[in-house]
Amino acid sequence: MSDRPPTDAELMSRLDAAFDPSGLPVPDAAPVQDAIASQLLRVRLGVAAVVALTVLLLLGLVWGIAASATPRPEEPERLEPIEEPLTEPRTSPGDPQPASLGSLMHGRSIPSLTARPPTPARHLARAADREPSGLTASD
Amino acid sequence: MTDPSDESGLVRAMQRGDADAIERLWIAYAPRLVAYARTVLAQSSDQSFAEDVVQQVFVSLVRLPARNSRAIRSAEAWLITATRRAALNAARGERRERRRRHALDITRPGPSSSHEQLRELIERLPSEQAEVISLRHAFGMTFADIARLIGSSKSTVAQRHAEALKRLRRWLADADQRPTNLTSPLEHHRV
Repeated sequence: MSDRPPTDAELMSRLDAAFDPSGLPVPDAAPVQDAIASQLLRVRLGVAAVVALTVLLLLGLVWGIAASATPRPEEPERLEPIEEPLTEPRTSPGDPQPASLGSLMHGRSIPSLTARPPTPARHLARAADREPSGLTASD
Repeated sequence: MTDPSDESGLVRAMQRGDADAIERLWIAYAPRLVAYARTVLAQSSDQSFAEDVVQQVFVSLVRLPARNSRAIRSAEAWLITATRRAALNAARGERRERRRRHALDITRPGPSSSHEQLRELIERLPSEQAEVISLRHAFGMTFADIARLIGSSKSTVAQRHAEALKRLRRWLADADQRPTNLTSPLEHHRV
């Protein structure tokens, strides 16, 4: 052994050798690989979830388009509202006239609603005039 | 150093979960990043703590949004920057506790090789000098690149490097005379 300090060149050479990768211990890569694997798994799960959601959305879209393109069953035809006024005649000049109320009654007169029925006193008085009683003056 | 265009492809492949890409990037950078993280972590560092930091950095690289990862031109530069930030953050919380445990750890084994011995000496340097040494010699960065990374001037970086070399030279001469001193836990403190 010598107590002579190494020269700059010697020292530099020794320093380069001390940090040479081939002489350095290689640390264990397993924790890194595990961390990377779990990270990638998370990423892939995320991607799978996004893809699944996208597919669902697309399916929904396709279903919506298909449903709108399908013809619907015929709806009953709506009646148009009558626009003609009810006061206008609905018959043409050649049409037969509607029967009058009188013809419908076959010539019978319609009793007046205001005629009063004969009272019993008057009725009895008329009967007395027509039929003489059995009692005479000679009786 | 890997071809940067190849690196971008590797990063993207890694983000897709390509095990081969992960392994290639890990083997290419993790050992040096751990060594670098130890210098940034300073006295609070040990191998497993520095490894934790580098593992977090790799995981954060995978979690980068695609927009940001496409902007990465050099995986090496990104990894170094991210490691530095993560190590500084980790050191703030852990330094005190680790220092206490380190001082009590009298059974801590000594360095087993001259390279390991030298790396331990580097860790005893002031952290700003240790960082410059590890960036310069682990990643072959220029003083200008280092200055840009740590937000300092090129001349300051060069000065720190020169001071670090001076200290290391002296310590290595001492270590050659008294090799057992290096393993003493009582000497594991910054000068």
